[in-house]
Amino acid sequence: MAQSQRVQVLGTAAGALAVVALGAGLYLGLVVAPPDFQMGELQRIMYVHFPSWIAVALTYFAAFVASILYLVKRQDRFDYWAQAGAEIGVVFNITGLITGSLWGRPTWGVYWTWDPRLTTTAIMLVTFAGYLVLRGFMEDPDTRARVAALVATIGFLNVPIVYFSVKWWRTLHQPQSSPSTVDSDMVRPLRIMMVAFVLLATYLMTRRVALAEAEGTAEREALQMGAANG
Amino acid sequence: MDNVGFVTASYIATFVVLAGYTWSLWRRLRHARRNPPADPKR
Repeated sequence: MAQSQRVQVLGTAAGALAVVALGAGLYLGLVVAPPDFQMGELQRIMYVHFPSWIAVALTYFAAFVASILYLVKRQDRFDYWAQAGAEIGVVFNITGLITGSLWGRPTWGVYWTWDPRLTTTAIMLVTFAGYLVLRGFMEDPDTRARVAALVATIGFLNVPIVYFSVKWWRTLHQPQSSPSTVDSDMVRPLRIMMVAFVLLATYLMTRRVALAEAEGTAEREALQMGAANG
Repeated sequence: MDNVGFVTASYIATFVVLAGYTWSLWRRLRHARRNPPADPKR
């Protein structure tokens, strides 16, 4: 079996497991877990908010590693993984920001504030959305892959800043909680939803890589035909 | 109702975005495999 086929089989398995984990996580998070003693039912947003950011970290990291590998090895497959990581990361970045805003309105009184954590996550979204837009402007596949790899590499530098922003600056956003201080009925669904989102992100990345491969192969063939005819 | 509306909106928004993207990805993948684009822009 070719490597790309193995990746697709792995992706299908990840997708199937993601559906099971999502079902279990939603049941435990919405039915079994108790409401928080301070935030009440609102705390249940955490079961989709935090896993979104775990998926963001994973996919942007994949884009970063693949971009570095592309710059070193100049192989198209790394460019395919980089664009998959960036695109899936943007999707989870959006769900993370939406759920965060919906948590912020009843908690802080506003949907949005220019707080260091919120601002750095917004910059992250704009950077990687810009990466995707930039790709659409460049005709030459090699130039596009090289420039995109540089943008993703530089853009990823913001990710650790997002993580440490709640420690470095005074911010409305609370710092990371320790599982030891949280009821196990709340930790369990949170962990299962994290696994589910990671599996879903893995599934989506394998399919996005397949799309990039199909488009990349067609583009290379079209360029070769153009060169042969012209 | 203890902010149940915000919780419901969060779950609906998350799964609408994820399902919408997954559906769009499937559609693009099926299209790319059946009709290779003459000038794919990415």
